[in-house]
Amino acid sequence: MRRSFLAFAAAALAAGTVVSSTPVASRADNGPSEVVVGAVLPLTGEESRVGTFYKAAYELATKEINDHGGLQLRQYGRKIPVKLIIYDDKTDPATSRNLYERLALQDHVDAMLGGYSTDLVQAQTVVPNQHGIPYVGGGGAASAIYKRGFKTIFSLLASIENLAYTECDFIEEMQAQKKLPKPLKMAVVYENTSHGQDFAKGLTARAKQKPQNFQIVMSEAFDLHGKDFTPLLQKVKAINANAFMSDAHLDDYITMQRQYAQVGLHHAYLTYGARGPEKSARDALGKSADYIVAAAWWNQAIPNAAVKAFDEKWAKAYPKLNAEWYAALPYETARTLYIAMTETGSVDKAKVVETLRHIDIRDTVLPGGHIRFEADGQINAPFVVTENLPDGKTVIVYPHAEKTGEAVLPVPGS
Amino acid sequence: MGKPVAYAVVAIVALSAVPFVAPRSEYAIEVLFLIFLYGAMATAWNLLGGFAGQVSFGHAAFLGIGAYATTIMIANGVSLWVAVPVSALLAGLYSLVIGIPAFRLRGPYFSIATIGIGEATRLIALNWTSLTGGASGLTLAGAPPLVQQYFAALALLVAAVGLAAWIRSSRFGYALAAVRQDTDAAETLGVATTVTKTQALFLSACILGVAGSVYALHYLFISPDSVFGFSTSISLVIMPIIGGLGTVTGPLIGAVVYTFIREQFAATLANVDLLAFGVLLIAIVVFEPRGILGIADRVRGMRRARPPAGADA
Amino acid sequence: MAGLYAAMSYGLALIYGVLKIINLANAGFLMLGAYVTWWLFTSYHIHPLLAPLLIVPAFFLFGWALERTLVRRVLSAEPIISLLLLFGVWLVLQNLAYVIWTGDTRSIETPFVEATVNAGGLQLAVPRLYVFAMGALVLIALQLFLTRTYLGRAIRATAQDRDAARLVGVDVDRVMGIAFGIGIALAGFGGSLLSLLFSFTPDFGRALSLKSFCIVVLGGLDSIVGVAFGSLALALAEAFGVRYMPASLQNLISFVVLVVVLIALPRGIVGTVRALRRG
Repeated sequence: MRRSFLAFAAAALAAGTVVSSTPVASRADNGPSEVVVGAVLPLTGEESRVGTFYKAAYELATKEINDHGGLQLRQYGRKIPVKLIIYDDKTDPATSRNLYERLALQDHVDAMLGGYSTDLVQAQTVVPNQHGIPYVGGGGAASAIYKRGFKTIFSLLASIENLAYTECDFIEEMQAQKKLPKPLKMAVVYENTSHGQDFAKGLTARAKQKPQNFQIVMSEAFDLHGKDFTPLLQKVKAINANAFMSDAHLDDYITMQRQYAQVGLHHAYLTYGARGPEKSARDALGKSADYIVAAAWWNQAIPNAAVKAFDEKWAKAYPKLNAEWYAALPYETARTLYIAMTETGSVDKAKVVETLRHIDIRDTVLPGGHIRFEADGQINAPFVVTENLPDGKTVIVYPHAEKTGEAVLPVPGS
Repeated sequence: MGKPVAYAVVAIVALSAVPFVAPRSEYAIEVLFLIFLYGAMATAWNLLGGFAGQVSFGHAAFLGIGAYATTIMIANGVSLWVAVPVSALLAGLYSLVIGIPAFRLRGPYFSIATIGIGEATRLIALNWTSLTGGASGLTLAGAPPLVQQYFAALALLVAAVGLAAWIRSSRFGYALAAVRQDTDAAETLGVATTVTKTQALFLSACILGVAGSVYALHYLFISPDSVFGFSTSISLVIMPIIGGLGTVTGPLIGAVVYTFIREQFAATLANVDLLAFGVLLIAIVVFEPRGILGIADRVRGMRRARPPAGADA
Repeated sequence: MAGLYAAMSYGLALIYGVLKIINLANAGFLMLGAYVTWWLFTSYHIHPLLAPLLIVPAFFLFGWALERTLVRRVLSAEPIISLLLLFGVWLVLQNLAYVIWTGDTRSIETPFVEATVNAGGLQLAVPRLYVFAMGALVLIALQLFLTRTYLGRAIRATAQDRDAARLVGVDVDRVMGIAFGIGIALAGFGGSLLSLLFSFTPDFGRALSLKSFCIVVLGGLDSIVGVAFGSLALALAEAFGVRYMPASLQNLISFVVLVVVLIALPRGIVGTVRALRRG
């Protein structure tokens, strides 16, 4: 024990020095040699599937900028290439936050791109807020993230409450067409995260507002990344509902829908919130994924020129990755940041934040094509409602501007 | 006993100088801060797991209680000087609530029960939405400057290690060692084993409660999965074992190795770090249960055994 | 559910019974069994129901080798050491799986997995029935093996009293290696069955393994029949519990049961009943 105290001090100092000994990019008078942008993504762990897409999308958007020589920044009078640093947080909130701290303190990033999944985004956004670094995200939808008075955080992902409202609008239209019963008796099961809570909150609010259209007969939370939902589904089965309204992450959606089929449940209307048309899920679930309705932030089938152009670019860059919403949203997220930096004309953090606050971008790949942020930093964009049809087809059934097919409702055989 | 104290003082002075010598290297300070925090946590775990031989896989519960208590109190305007000791006390009280029944179990059974206790605590925090904010977690408005946090963590570490060093040479320390070696024999020798274990758990939990306060003020955002998570409990087990189970400085060495490997690999090679810890853990348990300190002793012993150069002439 | 719980817990009980160590790596082997089944299915188109034919012998060898090389060295040490060793094995298995298969959610897709049958108005999923049947079958096979064969009797003798077994000429070292191998093989088999019902990631098995501990503790730690009872008890407790409490607390049930039983009935249900009968 005698010398180990000294050994500890020496080892700790050495560890600190080695870990932190990365040279800082030198800054001449004509601006930085490169614009440093950082992101921390779940490249392994539960959310790795989606995280991999975010990385691909951020890299694609950055490559497009660098292929043209970099960002044209007015103040320095020249184009400056972007250096994108991406770390892996293993789907762990504390790691995610630590690595954003490293981006701020060690890599001295000029701006940050967001991570994915609500609980990680909640933990990590503390860092850019504390250091005053502009942060543009496309991976945390829960409104709680944006209700904390943070000033430098922006998100392209519209809130889950909005998602619930959009689905209700669609259901009302179907009720008017006599395709769904009125009132719709909904069994609401949601993941026990702020994501899921928002979903339930949205449905509850609408049911209170329009009891002639919606009735909630059950509302219950379940554990994220659960393995066995059978007891919960048995409970649903015992209740006389004609709509199954779930909100789940991709892996839970796959597990739950499989058990839904095994338990032998049928409803006139079946949704998992934002999940439904993902190719991986349809491959995994086969026929039991048919007729699932989803309200998504984006869909490949949106009939407009920007989406088509993105689709082609994406397919060329990543022939093995199907273009899902979690490809398009992060791509547009990175583009939004780069547009904001170009408009600002410098990498001054406060000015970039100011630009983002008032930004107004048209003709993007998002539904409606329009990007601008609310006062709390979250976008207010519409959703597209899709329905899975047999043979792996997906059609957009709502809103009218983006519609590509007719809804098949109620679910056949229910 | 004089010498270690002198060495410790030199170490403390050297570490205290860092923010003044190198005020610009914020990241190094951040890493050192993490080493101090983890070192204190590992030392706390070691009081029970190392000294008394009661391996707990659920110690994140106490960190979480400290973090939540501090966050909730500060959000309600309670002064930091009140919030931190109350957090420590709450974590300690919780340890009594679970310790008194759980210590009816011996060795491995106790360990398994702690897995259940840790997970149950996380689930309760997740579902007690009115108090904890549920999955949405809790956010604090602002953090004290990093240098203040640095010294807070260093102070906590010094206190924890000082306590450990004192316990080791006290009657209480001998009682714990007796419990570890043979609970029944300790009982017959007149050691109140359950009381002794419970005292160690209480002290351990109190230190983790304070660590939770430091954690909350540094991370600003806490959620059940981050502070009550199983991965936190695992890291608390790994560090003391790597460094040297049941020693005073072993957990510190373990914390350096752990933080270093994690910071080096976490960002790039995912899960390779945990894989390395797993291999290291197996190797240590099988070949040198006294960890890195044990290996160091062996190397030293070898050197001493070798005759001085030229002696055979 | 009961059959499944039983299938994933037999190995744990057997290893505890014979070697008196708690196999904390059980979750890792469950996970590995599921992944190997998935890998055989997607790469070599081996039907998931046939996968155990390969998994059981392979896992047996793996377990046997593990006992020979590592576990044996710590058997005489404090029980905590073996627990930590197997904890290390679990960490290695889990993170090796992350490196090899990434953290993506995997699941097995066959018509069999989706099939349901109608039995008196109740719709039952075929894979669930199959898993339940397998749980029962393994119970019978294990009981026959342990009571009717020489090796089985040797295992039981070693479990009851190692020294006495050695005195009557049982090769205790060999028996312990074989018992550990069987325990691991049973975990692999359980994992293979699990893959029919659930999607999985390398972290798979942790929550389930806690349930295994709960079951084994309920059943009295070393009794195969006790495991079957423990599984049934936990499955029933969960199924009924969820009716009266939120589903998000479902996993709490097993932990509460675990802690309460550990503290109130340190000998498990079977042990307590035995003790009561004797008393």
